[in-house]
Amino acid sequence: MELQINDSILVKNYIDGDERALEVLINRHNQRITSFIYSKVLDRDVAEDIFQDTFIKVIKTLKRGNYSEEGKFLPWVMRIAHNLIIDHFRRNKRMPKFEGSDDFNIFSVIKDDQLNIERQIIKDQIENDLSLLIEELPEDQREVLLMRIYKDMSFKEISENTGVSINTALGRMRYALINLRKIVDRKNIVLTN
Amino acid sequence: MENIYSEEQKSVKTVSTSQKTVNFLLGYSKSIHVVNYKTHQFEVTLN
Repeated sequence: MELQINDSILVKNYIDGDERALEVLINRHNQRITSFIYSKVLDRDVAEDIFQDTFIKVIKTLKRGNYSEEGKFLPWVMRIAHNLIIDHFRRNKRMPKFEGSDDFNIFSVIKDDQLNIERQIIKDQIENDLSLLIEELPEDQREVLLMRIYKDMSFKEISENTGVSINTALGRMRYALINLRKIVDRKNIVLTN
Repeated sequence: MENIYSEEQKSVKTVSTSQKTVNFLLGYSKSIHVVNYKTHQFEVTLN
């Protein structure tokens, strides 16, 4: 029959410098503590992280000589683990984490609005080409188009600024776009991103 | 009629922390030393 040394004796031995006592304690309670943590967090990796943090606290407390043998070793470790589980949930509440499954990936729905460098270069090139095409437009049409697209002015504001009616401003805008398309077709320019 | 409790028992998954983590903890324990100086305590971690 194998003789099992009491936890409190192992703790005392560990405090006295017997490192092997810790190994016995960890191996003895590993499954029970990890299963307890896992039953709350339901994630193997998180459970393992919390188990590690729990024993780091245990080691520090024992090495510092702050452990008082009031209760039993296991309930004390379980209390530490329990507090760390609460910390884990508090942290996750502040910063919710979404993990996709194999069937569903959140990044297929949410995309990064930031353009990558290649797309940014293409976008700059298109804007550059477009500004050259706009230069080809008649003055009155160019003026309306610049105000509407680049200055984001309403047609009412354009009409007030140019001294023409809203309908005329609208008409100039329409012709500006038609003429731009004609120039694009005529010069075989591809404006796509 | 008696209830058959065994059919309603929740299955509790038993899991253990990997040997790798255990080894880390044992290594950590060996590396850490607490130095007491007057009323202060210093943690020294040796590689």
